[in-house]
Amino acid sequence: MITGRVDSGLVSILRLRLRGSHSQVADFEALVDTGFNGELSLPRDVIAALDLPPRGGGYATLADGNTVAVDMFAAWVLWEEQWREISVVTANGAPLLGMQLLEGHRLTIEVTVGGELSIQPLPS
Amino acid sequence: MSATMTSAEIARRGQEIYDRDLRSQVEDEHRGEFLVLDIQTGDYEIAARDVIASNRLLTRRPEAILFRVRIGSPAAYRLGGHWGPTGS
Repeated sequence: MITGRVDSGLVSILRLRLRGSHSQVADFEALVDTGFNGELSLPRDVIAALDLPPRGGGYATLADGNTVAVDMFAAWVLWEEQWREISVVTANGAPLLGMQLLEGHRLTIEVTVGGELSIQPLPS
Repeated sequence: MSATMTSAEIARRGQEIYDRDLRSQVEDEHRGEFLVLDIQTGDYEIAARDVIASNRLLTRRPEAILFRVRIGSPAAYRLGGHWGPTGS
């Protein structure tokens, strides 16, 4: 089971361990965003620090309704004790963890300051 | 990846190839899946996840410049917020 917390701003936070091409790992806090239908978004400085391999581009519709071209990258996340390759969208601000990474899991959130968040695989 | 193309150029060319050559062939059967194409050759792969399609295409075309769509959706990704048809 993956666990996280709800912070004092009522934001759902999950700690993620990521690595790029060169195997150095780094931990980041990501915001669980059920309005994001990708796997993970990261800002450019984190993408550069991890030296993530580029994977071309695509279009993304942002929260303000605008659709923009975005650069995509590959990253590896430690997920349920296994390194899993994921697709990273470049986006400013805090890392966002999206629905595609959560697919096949139950997300449970105690929506209160200091509440717990858990992610468990759905029974197959 | 090309150092000379901007994200906007890659996306514009990719969307053009998709709309012209692929959309009508794939939209009915593959709605919701990712189509990742190489903007240089038009070669492509379809899979449930972006990573899977991208890696299959890169295995065959290591120099590919990738552009992806979420079949049936106006954009590959939505980052939160606005309410509207998802197209999926």
